[in-house]
Amino acid sequence: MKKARKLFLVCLMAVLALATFMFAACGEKNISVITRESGSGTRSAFEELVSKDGVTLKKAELVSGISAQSSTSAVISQVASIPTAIGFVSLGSVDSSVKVLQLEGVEANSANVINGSYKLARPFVVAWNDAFGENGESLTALTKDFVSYLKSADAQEIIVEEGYVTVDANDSFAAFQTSLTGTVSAGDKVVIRGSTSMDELMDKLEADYISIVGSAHGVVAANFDKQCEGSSAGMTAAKNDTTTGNVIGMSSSELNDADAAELEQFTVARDAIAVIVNKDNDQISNITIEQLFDIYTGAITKFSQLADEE
Amino acid sequence: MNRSRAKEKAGKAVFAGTAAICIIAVVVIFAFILIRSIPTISKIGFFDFLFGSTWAPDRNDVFTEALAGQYGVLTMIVGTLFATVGALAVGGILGYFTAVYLAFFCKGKIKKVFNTVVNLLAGIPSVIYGFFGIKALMPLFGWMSPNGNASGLFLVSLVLGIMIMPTVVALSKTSLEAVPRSYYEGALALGATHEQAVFKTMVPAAKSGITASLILGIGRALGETMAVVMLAGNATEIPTGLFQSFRTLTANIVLEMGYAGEVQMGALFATGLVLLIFIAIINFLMGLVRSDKNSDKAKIKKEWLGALKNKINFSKVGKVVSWIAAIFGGLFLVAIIVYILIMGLPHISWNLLFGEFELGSDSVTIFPSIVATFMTVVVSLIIAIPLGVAAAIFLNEYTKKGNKLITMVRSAVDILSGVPSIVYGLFGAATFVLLFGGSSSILAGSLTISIMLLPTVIRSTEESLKSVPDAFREGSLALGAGKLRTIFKVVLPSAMPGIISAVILSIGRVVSESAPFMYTMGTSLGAMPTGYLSSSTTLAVALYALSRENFHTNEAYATACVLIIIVLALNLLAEFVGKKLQKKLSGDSSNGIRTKHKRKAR
Amino acid sequence: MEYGQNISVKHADLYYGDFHALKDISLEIPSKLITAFIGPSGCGKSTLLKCFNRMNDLVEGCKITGEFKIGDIDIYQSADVNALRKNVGMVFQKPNPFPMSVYDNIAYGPRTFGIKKRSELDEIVERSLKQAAMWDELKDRLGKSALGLSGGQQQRLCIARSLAINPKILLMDEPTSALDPISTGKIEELCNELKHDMTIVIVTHNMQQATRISDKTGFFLLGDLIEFGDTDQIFSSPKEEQTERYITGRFG
Repeated sequence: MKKARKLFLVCLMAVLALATFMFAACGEKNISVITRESGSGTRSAFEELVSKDGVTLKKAELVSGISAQSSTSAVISQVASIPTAIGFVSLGSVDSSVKVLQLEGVEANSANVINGSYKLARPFVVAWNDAFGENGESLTALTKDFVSYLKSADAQEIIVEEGYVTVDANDSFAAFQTSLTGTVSAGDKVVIRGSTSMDELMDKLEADYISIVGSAHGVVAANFDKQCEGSSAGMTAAKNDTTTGNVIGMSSSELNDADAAELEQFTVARDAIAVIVNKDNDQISNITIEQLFDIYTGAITKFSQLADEE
Repeated sequence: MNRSRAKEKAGKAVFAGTAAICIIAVVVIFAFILIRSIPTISKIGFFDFLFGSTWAPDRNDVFTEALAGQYGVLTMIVGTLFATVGALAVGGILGYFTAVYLAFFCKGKIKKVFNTVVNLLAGIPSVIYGFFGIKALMPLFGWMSPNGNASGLFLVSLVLGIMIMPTVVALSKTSLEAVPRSYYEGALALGATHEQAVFKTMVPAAKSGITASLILGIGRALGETMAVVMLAGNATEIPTGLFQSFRTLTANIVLEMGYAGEVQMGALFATGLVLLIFIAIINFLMGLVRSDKNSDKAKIKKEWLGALKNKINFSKVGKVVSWIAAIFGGLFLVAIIVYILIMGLPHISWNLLFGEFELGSDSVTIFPSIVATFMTVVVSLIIAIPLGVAAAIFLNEYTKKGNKLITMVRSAVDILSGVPSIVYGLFGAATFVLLFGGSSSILAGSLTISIMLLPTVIRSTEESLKSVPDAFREGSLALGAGKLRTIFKVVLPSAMPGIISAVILSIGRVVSESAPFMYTMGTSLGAMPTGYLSSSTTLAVALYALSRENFHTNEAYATACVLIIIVLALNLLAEFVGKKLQKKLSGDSSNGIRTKHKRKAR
Repeated sequence: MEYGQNISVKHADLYYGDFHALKDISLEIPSKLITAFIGPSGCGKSTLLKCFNRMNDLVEGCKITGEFKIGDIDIYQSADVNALRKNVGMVFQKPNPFPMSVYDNIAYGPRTFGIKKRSELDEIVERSLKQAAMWDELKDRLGKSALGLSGGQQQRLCIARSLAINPKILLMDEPTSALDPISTGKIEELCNELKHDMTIVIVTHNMQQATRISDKTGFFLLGDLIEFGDTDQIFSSPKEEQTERYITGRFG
């Protein structure tokens, strides 16, 4: 009797397992929606720019069960691993493991950002506490000089080199003239906080700046203290710097009203946000802003519904 | 002779002092979190905070005005609970049975290799587990989820379980191997098979060590962040299925800490507080379970279990399960290591390993991080091992069984082990960093992680000390030796295996942690550190930094390879040193006494 | 402080918590003789033995009243427990050699008391092993672990270890109960040799052993000392009825 009971149990379990398998495996999978953590500038920009019927994603309720990742790499890795995934990252960080969608028929590239046809473009903003003046006059000497470098044509050259978009083709930028006098001490630091999307670019800008002023004024890499924990972190840091005057915040999206009220800012570059899907996803190659809105709010749950729309 | 009494008193005071440090550490950390959370909790309301099911903070909220955001952590409490239970189920069971397998069903070379591999697992950073989970496991289990995204409880439990496995295995194995052989032989002499002797006598005898390992494992699971963030989905909803996006308390802290406004920041600290309370409760419950042995309910349960055991021939099943657990665990380890090697080995270059740092250059060098990691390992071991061993000595050799002080210290130790690593990081930033002039430094990071290592060192050493037979102590005392001499000459040498195990686990911890260092040592790769006051990054933090923006993924994997190789090397070194020490102390080498003596006799 | 070689106990009581383990014990153990404590299990003989070198201090909740003197020294008033144990050695029921080499086991005691010179230690090791009649057996494996020896060898090693510090009194707690007859014989022979130099108190529940080697015998029952006297007298014409019933095997 005992053996028969054991056998029955085993069979029952096998049947259950099979049933689960069949149930789960059949049918088209829902879209797996991926976003960034709430402090991310990229997410903030995305949610501002994607809207339907006058409502931005920022004000809307996002689909339940949305998956939030805390880095660009994680987003790309997830999209690359999940067949029905969709996500958004800075265009500059896309690699061949994912497929970039066209946005309303427009290819995602620098040229289209410059001519304005690619809609998901966001600014790279540099900001500091407004206590230190509109042009950063009261910032520390080194910080002020670095800010003026960022506004120069030299900086724009680097930005284009790195694949980002210069602010405006019609703007003219003066060549950089340093305002430093004498040598900079080792304790004199420029504190940079903010967007992870701007991390690499800022490295390059720092390096270029040092190559210009380094030998004459003793500026070295150790004079820069940069930590990237997200655009909001950068804005918070800049807001908190009320006395020293050496904090520069980086934001990869437009500043919100609360931040803008306390900070001076300027846009140093522009960047396209690429919408990515899994490489093997052949149900979609082009997407509209409204469709993005629907997907991210859960109104559309399967890619096949997009085909139906058309 | 008063000198020796004075020495004994001094010795006792020193040991008691080190044990007290643990209590002090817990109290200070607790106070730190409490102070940062109280303003927020009073503003939000304790019950609204604990039982509110909406988490939607507004980083512009301030204490002086009405709140625009919502701060309820119920969804995350549930998420953490489920994830911990899941992790314990996977890691506890796998770890327990693998330990049994290693201790009793495995021999010779295989055992050595397996052991080394399990220890290696302890050194793999969380971020790597996260990427492994995304790249290798998600495609594997995606079909089970309604949207093809395997994020959720299942994946988190699986990966967390594997992450806590080394801790559980190491400690359980030490306890199992310390059970006197006479128990085993006694069982065999009664006609028991090998498996029956193992499961019916040896394993129950090691219960205290196994429970200790499970508690440490829970602590680790509760405090884990990076891998969870990458695999849980992080939606602020209560998980109602194995593949639904959910968020844990620790993930919440890490995701939002960087940019939180003042009210939000306080709420995040309060989240840390909730975690601490959790682990205190779990410890309390575990303690209850242990002392429940003699109640009537327990007796009935025991009988019923006993009858059941006889019916299923538990021991045979146990043996099979041990084998399966070991194989499964082994496969997983091998998979992760192979994955890292495949992705990273091709990208290891001379410049990566030994190049000089250049700002803005596209080529990456981790040489400074390698150096910083070694510096950190050395200092933290120098601090944590003696402190931890001394505290364990106090707990085991100096206090009477029911002493209130020991229960306090033990609870303190268990709580310390459950503090999330990110809380340690914040604590370190608020204390050690400020202490050294307000900027990050290797020293601040080392001090921070030393505190983190204490629970493991203490527990492991304690279990080892417990296993030293009292007969040795009595023999030594009867020969006129004082307590100090007995401890240093007889007890400690016998307890060496547990201490070595603690060293190995500690090395793994130092090398694999990132959160404690991110806030105390620095997060950007930079130039070679010039001393302990330089800021730098350890390899794990460098790995994290390299992997974030997708520009240096190859270098990130290469760094992971280097990391594993270093952990392996350090572990092997520790084992080697340990064996040599033991040989020297237990006199299994025939040294020159014989010849010396022959000469003398003539 | 010079420790004598005789033990004097006056009105000693011992409590383990609430349990009254020794009840008003008084006796005199003469020097350089072998005294045996006999009695059924749980009667207190080992407990009394452990009072002589204050090993009962290790037991929680143990309370001792009364006077214990070794020579002229009241051992519970004197604070120097270590000196006491140097002079009063102990051999345990279960052999407990340290997990060290034979040499290090024996040298442990002397090293504790400050002897560091290699030549001196070598001498002591040789002397102790010869005293324990083990020198020939072990002289070629001094560096090997003591745990590799047989049970009988381990026990004799423990005895040699105790002898290495030149105790005035040697306490033996059922030293041969776990050993085979040959090892037992060797140890009994050893005792007879040793009593020329030191007082020996041996707890045993092997009455034949007591008759073979002891000069004086004390019979204990449930914490009381029933009778104490010359061994011959105790075993041939015991004064107390309980003694007689025990030695004739009616109980115990």
